[in-house]
Amino acid sequence: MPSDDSSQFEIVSEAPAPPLPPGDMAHQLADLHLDAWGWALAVSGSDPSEAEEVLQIAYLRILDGRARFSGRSLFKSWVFGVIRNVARERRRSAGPASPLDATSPSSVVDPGPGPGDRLSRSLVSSRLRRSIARLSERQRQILHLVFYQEMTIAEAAEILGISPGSGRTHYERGKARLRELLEDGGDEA
Amino acid sequence: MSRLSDEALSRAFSALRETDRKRAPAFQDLLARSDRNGNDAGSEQMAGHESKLVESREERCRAQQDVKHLLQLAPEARVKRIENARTRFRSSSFVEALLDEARNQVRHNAKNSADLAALVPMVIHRMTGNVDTDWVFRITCVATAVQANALRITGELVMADKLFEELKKRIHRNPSLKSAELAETMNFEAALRYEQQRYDDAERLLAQAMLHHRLVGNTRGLAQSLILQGQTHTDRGALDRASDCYAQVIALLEPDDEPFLVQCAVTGQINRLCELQCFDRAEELLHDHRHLYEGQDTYCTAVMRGLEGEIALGRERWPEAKTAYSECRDGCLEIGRDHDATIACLQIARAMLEQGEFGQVVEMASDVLEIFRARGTDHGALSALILIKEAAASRTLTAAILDKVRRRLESHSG
Repeated sequence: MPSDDSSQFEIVSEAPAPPLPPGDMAHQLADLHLDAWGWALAVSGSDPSEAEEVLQIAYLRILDGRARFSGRSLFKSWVFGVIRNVARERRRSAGPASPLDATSPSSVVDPGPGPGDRLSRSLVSSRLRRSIARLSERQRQILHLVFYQEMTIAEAAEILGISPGSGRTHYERGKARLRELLEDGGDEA
Repeated sequence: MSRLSDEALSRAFSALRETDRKRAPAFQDLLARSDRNGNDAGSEQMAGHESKLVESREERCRAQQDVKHLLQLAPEARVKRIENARTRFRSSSFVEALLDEARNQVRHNAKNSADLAALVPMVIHRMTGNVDTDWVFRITCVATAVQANALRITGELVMADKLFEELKKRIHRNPSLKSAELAETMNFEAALRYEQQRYDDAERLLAQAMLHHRLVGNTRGLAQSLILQGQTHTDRGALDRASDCYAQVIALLEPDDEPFLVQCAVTGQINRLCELQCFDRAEELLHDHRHLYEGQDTYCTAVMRGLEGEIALGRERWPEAKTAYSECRDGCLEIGRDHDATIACLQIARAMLEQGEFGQVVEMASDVLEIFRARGTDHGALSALILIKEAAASRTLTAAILDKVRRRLESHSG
């Protein structure tokens, strides 16, 4: 299986494009913040405290110029690439995690039985989270980018550093697996 | 497989997105934390910030341990412990942990909260001497607001008022407080103004606090301001507007994330709905949120039984109202909330009255009076019970009298 370690995204561009003034950059990041938070959660195993660390480090890299936007992709895609790289680096430096750790989002809370729309919405969300956690990393991330971030498969593939064809394969397989898991209640392997 | 279409998956992910967004940290907070981590280290090399983030996380853990250690000591001993330490209790992380603990303690031990917040200026002085940086100014202001809020809860309104007046002058002279900090101080001051029945001031402060909370995306803070605004509208008799505030909080927060705030909003909303005669909606809301009250402490159970009693009264289900309110009263008596127990007694009397049970009213009032006298409960509660006991004994007790007594009791609840 090919390794996905070689990022196709520049963190520091060799031929830097004129950087955005820091104020503009901060504004653009602020506009993207909620989407970036969702993505940081997705690449951090849905652990909110880890997602905060990842996002904070990614913002630092962007704002102090260590990660530079070359203008070759959409700004959002580039920011997502930086976030994904930070998350991956942190996982590597933390040492090998057990498969259970990697797929058990700490934020999943079973709301328990109860009536009402709001509660059923919580129930659906927690079942979806449980099911997503059982997908492979690639499948998890591409489904997040397509359904959660409403990107095209090509845009999602670009962020993940894979070809659009490969992206479509992960997308279709992930979708089929997610449907199976959701129909089983998200608890079955 | 055909059951789950792409559209259904989109909808499910969209619900997930909505939930996640409510939990998102504010953008400015993340940046502010990064700034401070850099400044504290005194380094201008941004490249070193990541490792400093890790270090600062370890420092935060140490600071939390230090705060735990202090909590085991008496307030005077805490001051000595800090003064005698050579290197301990000197980090910015410790100051923040201290302030966080002061915030956490306020609900259950306001006196302790005030004592902890009062330590902040002392610790900062030991750390920095007389150097007045931006961070020192901001954190000292917030600590003063936290202390004043805790003093308000302990009933020291004059002292709280004095601290807020001084704080406002400081902020006016040095307008460097950030939105999140301004929102917190304004919210605390609004709570004091509400208690002083200075409703115009409270509403003005709350409007500003909400603006700042929205600016930094602080959903929790926004919910706190909305709940207080709901109380202010209630006291001013604007029940519809109060109900709108509570509805906003219920829509804003996930019960699993913020059970206490959602419970406050649900309680307020059910009471307002009952006052607006919307008993169906009140009953439905309680049904949907019972899990927030069940299995909690005695007070939560008492509140839930009180809400059930209120709905039953509105629906003229007298025996049910009597049972629910009796359990509410017993719970309140158990934990020493005599004022709330008296209100419950008045509602029980109302249900008994509707069934012509004057003798039972006399009996109930006598029983509770005995407890109150033994405890030395305040004059207002005693007078209320004596009045309904005598009126029931002479069969002159009416619903109007009960309402009047209740209103008087509620207006003296502060």
